[in-house]
Amino acid sequence: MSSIAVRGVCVEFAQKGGRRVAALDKIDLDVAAGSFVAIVGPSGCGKSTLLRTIAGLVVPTAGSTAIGDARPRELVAAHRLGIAFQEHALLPWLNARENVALPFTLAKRPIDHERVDALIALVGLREFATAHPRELSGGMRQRVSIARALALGPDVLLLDEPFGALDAVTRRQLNIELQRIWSERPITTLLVTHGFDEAVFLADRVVVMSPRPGRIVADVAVPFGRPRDRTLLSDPAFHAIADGIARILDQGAST
Amino acid sequence: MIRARPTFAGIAGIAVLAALWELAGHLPVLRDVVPPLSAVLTHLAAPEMRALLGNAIAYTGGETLAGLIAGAAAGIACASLARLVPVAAPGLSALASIVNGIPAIAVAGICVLTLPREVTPLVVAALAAAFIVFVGTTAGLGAASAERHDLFRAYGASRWTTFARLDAPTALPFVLGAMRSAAPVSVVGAILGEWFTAERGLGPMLIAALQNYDTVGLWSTALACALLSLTLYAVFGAAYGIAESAGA
Repeated sequence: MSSIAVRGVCVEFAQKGGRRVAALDKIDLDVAAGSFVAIVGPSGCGKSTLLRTIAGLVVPTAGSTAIGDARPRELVAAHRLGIAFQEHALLPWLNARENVALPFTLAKRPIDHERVDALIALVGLREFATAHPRELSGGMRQRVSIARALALGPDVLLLDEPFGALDAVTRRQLNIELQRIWSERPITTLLVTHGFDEAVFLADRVVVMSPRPGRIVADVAVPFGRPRDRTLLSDPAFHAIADGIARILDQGAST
Repeated sequence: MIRARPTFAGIAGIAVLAALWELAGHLPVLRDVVPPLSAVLTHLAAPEMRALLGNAIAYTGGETLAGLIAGAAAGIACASLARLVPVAAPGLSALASIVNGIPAIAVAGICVLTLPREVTPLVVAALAAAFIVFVGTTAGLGAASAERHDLFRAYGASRWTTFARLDAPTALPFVLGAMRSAAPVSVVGAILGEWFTAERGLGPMLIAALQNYDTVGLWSTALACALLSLTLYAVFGAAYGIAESAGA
């Protein structure tokens, strides 16, 4: 397990006509090894760009990111990264088990079938192991996608709005599931989301970002122990924290 | 019910066309030009004609299929090379366009001059198919979503692994769809090639019918050509349908 360190990261994108737009402005962020940090913020605040920079999918204009001692490129080459996206990105011609096993194939390693089966069971899809993505519900597809992210026992888990496209009920269920899974095997995790409740329920810390250019405007500690269950969702202290984050974002929007 | 509708519409369309053809064949003004469908079918039903046309369809069909597969292989190879070696892509694309720009009749002429006579139908059929499959494959190889590509990059997949495990499977329905579109064009290519060189097949039968003012024979052979085209179109269409539903 590794920590994540982001130092002075700036990311600029070139727009049509050559104008450059700053997506991220001097971001500093530390995620301690074995902790769960959520990043929240309005659309376009650069939170996904930050996650993609840490994953090595975006090269920063300035600054650097490291996971443990490794640069993103080294981590990717060593297949030490687990990642899941809003669009599940499952391969439609593979069944659930084969999709979970895909990282082994991509890393050119022999498939650990026991581990794949254990992950399928962990996300509650034992009966659907041989089903293809088109036969699964949206929530089930995201379960497969999370099991796939855990396949190689990565150093860090990067989740880019994995439940963003789901309905509220399914999303809540998967939050509870992910909390259970994570509590069983904690792993350094960065979750990008626009749901405050989701962020507070899952994370040890919630980092709040504001847009244009993307900056970190608040870093909120979540004091609840683990494991957490659904009773937390009706706890006044839980709502106080979520409301506090909402207020920070409202202030950002009005300035 | 919903599935049955297009089939019903297809059958109804064919029935209307057949009725119009039959009607046209009985119009005095079209006498000697368009024989009634019934006359063509009677002609086709004669045992010696059945055997003759059956052999011709088998021969031309074989040439077409071999040409289609060879052309598809060339198109797939060029598109794959362009994908794997991006620097070669503009050159390959230009080459494909130029080859496609040569009229099939010129290709047949060049083949007669440069290659063994008997391969001309196959080569013309192949070249007719190659460009269509090249374009379809190129589109297919670029069709995987950005997130799937991100996933492969984040898992450290090599360019070749990404090609083999993501781009190629994504392209399969596109390739089969292109082969479906290319099949009738290949039939025309094979027949054209046969005009120059072959003694067997639908091409020589068309020429023989033309030279003998055999209107019924000409229409019968034309119908056989259409049948061959439609059959190949349907076969690759079915393969395309299966591949597409598996990739959904």
